Amino acid sequence: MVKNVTSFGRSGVSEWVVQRVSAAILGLYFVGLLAYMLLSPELSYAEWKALFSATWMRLASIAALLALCAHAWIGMWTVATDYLTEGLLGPKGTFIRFLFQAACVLLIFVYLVWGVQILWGL
Amino acid sequence: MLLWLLSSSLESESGFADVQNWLAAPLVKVVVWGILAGLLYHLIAGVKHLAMDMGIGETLEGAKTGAKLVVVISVIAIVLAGVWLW
Repeated sequence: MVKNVTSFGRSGVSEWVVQRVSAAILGLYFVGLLAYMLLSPELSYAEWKALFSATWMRLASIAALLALCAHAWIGMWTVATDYLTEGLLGPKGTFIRFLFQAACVLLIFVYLVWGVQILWGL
Repeated sequence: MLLWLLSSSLESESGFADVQNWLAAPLVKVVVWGILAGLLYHLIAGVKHLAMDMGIGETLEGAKTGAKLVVVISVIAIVLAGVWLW
């Protein structure tokens, strides 16, 4: 059994819930944004900027960004603990998984900070 | 990639124009299409998972039809995304 160190809790129940909730948030956000883009063919800068300056859109975008971080982390953790194991890779398996997960955390952190900076800096 | 496009498009009028020019380049279109394809498939398969969590399509037959549906809908969505980009 993999030493399942996740960031939320002992049992996987909280991950299971967070994965679905974040998926729903991301699904709504993506479909909504896609619909907006499809329905405004000649999108102007002013219109695009106004959309992202609106408070409700900023909050929705921050929520989607946070949901993405959680969703991506749980997803990548799931993949890593399935494949990057000592069973498959031998004794160094856990170390490789650790590196992989550390890289994921770093990348997610970069996207979070960058995203907030984009939305914040408007 | 997407954050980069968002950042540039919101920065200024010229940034927005830059994004429009980038998106005109065939190579950029292919990359964006690849990203959209992966995202659309993931979204559609995800919706199927959510349905299955609610007990829909959990039998063997249900799962098979669910899988086929996901592939068919995904292909349609991805082709449409291609049309939209080109």
